[in-house]
Amino acid sequence: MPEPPEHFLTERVQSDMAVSLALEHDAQLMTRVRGGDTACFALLLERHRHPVIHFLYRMVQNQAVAEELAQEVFLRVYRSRESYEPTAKFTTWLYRIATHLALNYLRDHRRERAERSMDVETEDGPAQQFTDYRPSVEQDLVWQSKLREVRQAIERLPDKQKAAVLMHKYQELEYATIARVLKCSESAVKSLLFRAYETLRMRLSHMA
Amino acid sequence: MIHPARPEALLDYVAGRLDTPTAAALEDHAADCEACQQFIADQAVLWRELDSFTPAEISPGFDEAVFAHVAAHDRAPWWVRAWRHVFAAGEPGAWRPAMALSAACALVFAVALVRLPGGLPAERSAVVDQTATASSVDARDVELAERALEDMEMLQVVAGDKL
Repeated sequence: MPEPPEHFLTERVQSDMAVSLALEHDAQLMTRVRGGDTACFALLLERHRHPVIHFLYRMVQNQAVAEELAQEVFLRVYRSRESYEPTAKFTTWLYRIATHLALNYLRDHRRERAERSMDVETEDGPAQQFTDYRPSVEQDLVWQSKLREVRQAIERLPDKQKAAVLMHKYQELEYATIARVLKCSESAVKSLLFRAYETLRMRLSHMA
Repeated sequence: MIHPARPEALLDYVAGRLDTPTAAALEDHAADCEACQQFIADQAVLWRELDSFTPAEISPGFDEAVFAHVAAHDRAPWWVRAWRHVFAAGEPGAWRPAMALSAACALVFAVALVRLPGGLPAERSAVVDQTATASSVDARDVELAERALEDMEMLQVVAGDKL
């Protein structure tokens, strides 16, 4: 079997070291939180606040709900500090809680979602953040229309496929991590992703 | 080269997550494979479309809200905290104490069902009492009957003597 190139090995080693350091760091912080160090909890919150809220926002497509769910995620992390064992990667643990809460929310509000998807305009959205750098009203409208279609295409995915796509595309999690979060095999995750991306390609093909 | 041994390599290539040698090998293959070229082109378009789904700004008071929840949790009585921890679905490790507690409750209930309810011993004692009462009544009747027979015999004897 041929040896991989040297630069590839160096990249892999550096990547592994970075992952290892990040893993140790989060685990160490959590161990200190268990010892009553609330400053470490604040540090964990600072580090993971944005990715968790963004993930939840894309899952439930409502900023206020996403923030409420994210508060619950971090509260559960704090509550579980006594039983925390640094055997699993902290982010896996975190996304497992976040995904569980999001899937429960989606299940409990299925009817509201169906009604909302009938409505063309959604209540909240990041439209206002694009006005600064878009030069014209027409482009703004085109952009908003495109965004709405993307959001609706994602929203209509089955919940588990949606979670897998969001973790893969936006959170850039590895297949193994997504598998652990969704409690399924890696091959099942790949299958979910292929199906989900295929559906999205079909739904959004007219935008190409 | 045939199609990539790992089909997800095509997704990883579009996502820019392949290492340089693997990406180069995939590009060599795609140069002669229309199906892979088409997949990569379509997936790349989708990838760019999905980039438009940017998240909204986070409320400035988010951290304060989390710390307020944490403070409220710390102020809650110990049994409320324990209850929340044990029965908080999705909380890491929550199911383990919940399962243990459920098993313990089931065991206590089973033991209580067999040993503690007052009905079973009371019924038994009632049956025993009824049996005792019935047997004492029967004994008295026998005694009375015996006495009656004795009296009759005595009367017969007396009558025979007179005759």
